[in-house]
Amino acid sequence: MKQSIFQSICTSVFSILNENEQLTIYLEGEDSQYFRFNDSKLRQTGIIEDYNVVLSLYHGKKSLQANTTISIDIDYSIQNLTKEIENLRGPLSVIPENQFTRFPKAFSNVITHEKGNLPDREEILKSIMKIISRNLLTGVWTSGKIFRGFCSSNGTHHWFEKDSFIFDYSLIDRKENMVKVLYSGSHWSRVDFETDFDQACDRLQLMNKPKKELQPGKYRVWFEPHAVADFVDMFNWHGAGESYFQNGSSCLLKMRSQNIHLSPKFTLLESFKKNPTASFNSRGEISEEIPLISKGKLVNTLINDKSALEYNLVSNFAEETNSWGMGEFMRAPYMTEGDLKEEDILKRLDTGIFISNIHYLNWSDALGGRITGLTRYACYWVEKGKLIAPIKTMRFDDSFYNFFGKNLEAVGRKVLARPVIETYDGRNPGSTMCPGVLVNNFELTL
Amino acid sequence: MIDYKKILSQVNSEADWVGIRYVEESQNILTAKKEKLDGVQRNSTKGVMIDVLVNGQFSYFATSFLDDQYLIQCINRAVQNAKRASEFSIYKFDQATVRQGFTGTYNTKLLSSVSDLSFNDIKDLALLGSSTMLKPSSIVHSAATVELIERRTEIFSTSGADIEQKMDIVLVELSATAQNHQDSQTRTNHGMRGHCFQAGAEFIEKYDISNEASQIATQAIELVEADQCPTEVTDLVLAPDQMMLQIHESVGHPLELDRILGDERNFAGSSFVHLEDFGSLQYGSKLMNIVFDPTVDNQLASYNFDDGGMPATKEYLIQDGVLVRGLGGIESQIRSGVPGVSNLRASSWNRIPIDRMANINLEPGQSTRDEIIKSVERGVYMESNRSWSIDDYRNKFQFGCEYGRMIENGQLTKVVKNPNYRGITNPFWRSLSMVGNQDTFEVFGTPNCGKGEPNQVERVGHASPLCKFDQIQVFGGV
Repeated sequence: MKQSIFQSICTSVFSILNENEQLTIYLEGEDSQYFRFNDSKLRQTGIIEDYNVVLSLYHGKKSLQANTTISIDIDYSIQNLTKEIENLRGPLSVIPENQFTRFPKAFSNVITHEKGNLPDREEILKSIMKIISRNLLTGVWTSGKIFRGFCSSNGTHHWFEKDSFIFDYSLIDRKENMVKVLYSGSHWSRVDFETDFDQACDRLQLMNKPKKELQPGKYRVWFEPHAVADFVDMFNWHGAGESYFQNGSSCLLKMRSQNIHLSPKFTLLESFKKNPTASFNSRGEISEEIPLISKGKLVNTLINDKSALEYNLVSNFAEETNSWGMGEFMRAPYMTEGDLKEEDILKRLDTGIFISNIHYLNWSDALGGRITGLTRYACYWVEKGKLIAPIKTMRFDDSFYNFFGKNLEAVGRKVLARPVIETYDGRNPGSTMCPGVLVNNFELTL
Repeated sequence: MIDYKKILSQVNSEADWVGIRYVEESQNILTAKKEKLDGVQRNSTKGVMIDVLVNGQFSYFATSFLDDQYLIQCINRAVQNAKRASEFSIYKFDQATVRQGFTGTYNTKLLSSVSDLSFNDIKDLALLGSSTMLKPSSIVHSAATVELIERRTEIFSTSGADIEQKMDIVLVELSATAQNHQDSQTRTNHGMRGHCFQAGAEFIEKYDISNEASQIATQAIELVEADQCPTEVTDLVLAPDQMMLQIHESVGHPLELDRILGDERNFAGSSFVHLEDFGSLQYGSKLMNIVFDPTVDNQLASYNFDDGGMPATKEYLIQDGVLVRGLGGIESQIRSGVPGVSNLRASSWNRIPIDRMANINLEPGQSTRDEIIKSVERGVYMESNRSWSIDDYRNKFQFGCEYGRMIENGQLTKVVKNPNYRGITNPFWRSLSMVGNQDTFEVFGTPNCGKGEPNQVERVGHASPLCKFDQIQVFGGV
């Protein structure tokens, strides 16, 4: 998809609007190549061209949405969108006005083309195979362009286009020891990939020891940045959005209603400067930096236009509710760094668990902040600052009011980006950026 | 209209086989919050998945640009990709067995299509549900969502496949939140998006939303005032709407052959089940009989053919507690040598079919509801899932429910909040001591099962009677 094609489609569609009608068109798209591997052999491969748009048709304080597909063909796309708008007009005429509905105001246009150096689609498989066949790799390679676009009948036009690749893989030996890697970027280098792959092979070799079985109980734990990112992402699920506070379901509710704090070492922002991605939402609104939790205190929530109108607040241009029923979620989360240097992590941990990755998180008591989940991949038992043995999978169940609160002993100095790997609705250019954390008395249960 | 058969007849390529799967789906979603209409959304999508087989290797091309000439170009690009990929295949498939050319149709059993419902019918239903839940003063939030979905799939191939399947789907979700000074509790109708079926307009016309909404609001208020679920090892009685999740996570996923073959290890995970376990592993107690059954009228994942074009039939997965068959489509069956089912399914035109659950049901036993409750000296009864987590080998699970009640001396007594339980899959299922009869059997479904790389969500159905498990670790909230 080219910016000019999207703009041509939008311009034509705006020309069919009736008097008093207004329209926004939001695009999410990809043109991607996929290779899926199992034990360094190819299982599945293909190409996906997918361009999904959300039409929001307004008539005063009435609005309806249609989510549909377009293609690289202008006439075909115009025809499809015209039909969808016609389908919306009937219901729009009979719904009542909604006082919480407002057509988005105009913003200055934001145009971003993140050009990269992607590998040749016809050559990349052979190039990858030469390297990965040296070990047993299971995972998925994805490369291509990701698109976000927005056009409004009041003249706002945004475009975001990014060349990117991500190799999301696990190295798994015959004893089923596993190491997880997310190798991503915009500029492909076979040499850099090979170096990174060899380092992952070395980490897998470290796992080749009998696994230690831990008993349920409380432990000192170092969580690597990608594990912390999984915890922080839980604040997107009945968390930082204002509507969740208002309907009584936010996991952060106690921080407002009972003035409970997290550790002063914990600070979380929504920051498109520190964590770059498409900065406009599906209404074409541009967010500034929003501190959410500052030194342990809740200072802001994410507020979209609807919540702003409903609860008499000021919008900070958070996202609308999406097709999964989720809205006001973080799109550019950034947890700030602490002072624990990488070379001091094991020494400070002393005796405890080094957790690289966690798995399948869910709330066991959302209002109490309790999260359950499991250890996964390269997790080690550490004694007196030395890696002793990998551990068998353990279940945990503890509250972030503890592990990001009174039990948070230190925060790492290095912040890492964990790219969004979920592709249910297509590829996402965003990431969650976090440092690692050192925690006391973390509760393992099974 | 594109003539896909004509396109296939024009293909002049090096492919051993070419298939085209066209999918179009429309969803009308309407939500009422408190006493107001909150959102109206129409989702529609259509496109094709081209799949080719060259030198035993599949390759796909998904596009929404439905143009004859462009589709032929896409086929050629897929063929070239498959040729390059075939040098590194994990398995060389033989077209004659992996893509046979079946023909047939499927239609949801219904009296009239969901598209026959008027906008006002749906709007009025959602508003009635939401406003009914909001009546008690301690209810601070209520929401009712109605989703009506129509999906049509056509499958054609150079081996003669010619299949058309049409599904009408209805989802009604009700949610009420009660709050006091200390707590907030949310109750729904059968857990998050669990009230989901293949059905026609008559489902909506007959749905007694007022009664269900009143009960949800009442129970949300009971919960907010209730004690925490105790922490102890005790007998556990699970309602069918929680059994849905228990079956899904600890039976359905571990039996997927692609997980056992290792395809999913980087994302969804593996399985504690090994290929040699089929035919011998005592998965659960002898009361445990689990079927793959795509033939149940109006269950969410009923169909006549999977997306690989294979005819689908009812099969036992676990019989008298013994594992007998895997959840694997034709590709996994060929790779593993283990008997499977027709469950190659794709979420839409833009994803390829992989091994998925369809309707996975626990068959009814002999016990009445009264007999099950009376048999418990002390225990907890739990309804409606709200939290789920299980390890990547599908062993250590922890599940939470919305609504619990103590069982004391054979009687249901006080309501308890935040009821959770945890266990390990095989020991848990081996503790299954009573299975309810047909009168306790209920059918549900979930539209949110995630798997695959690239990721896809699938609609799956689950049905179960009331069940009792002996001596399980239960616990409450903070």
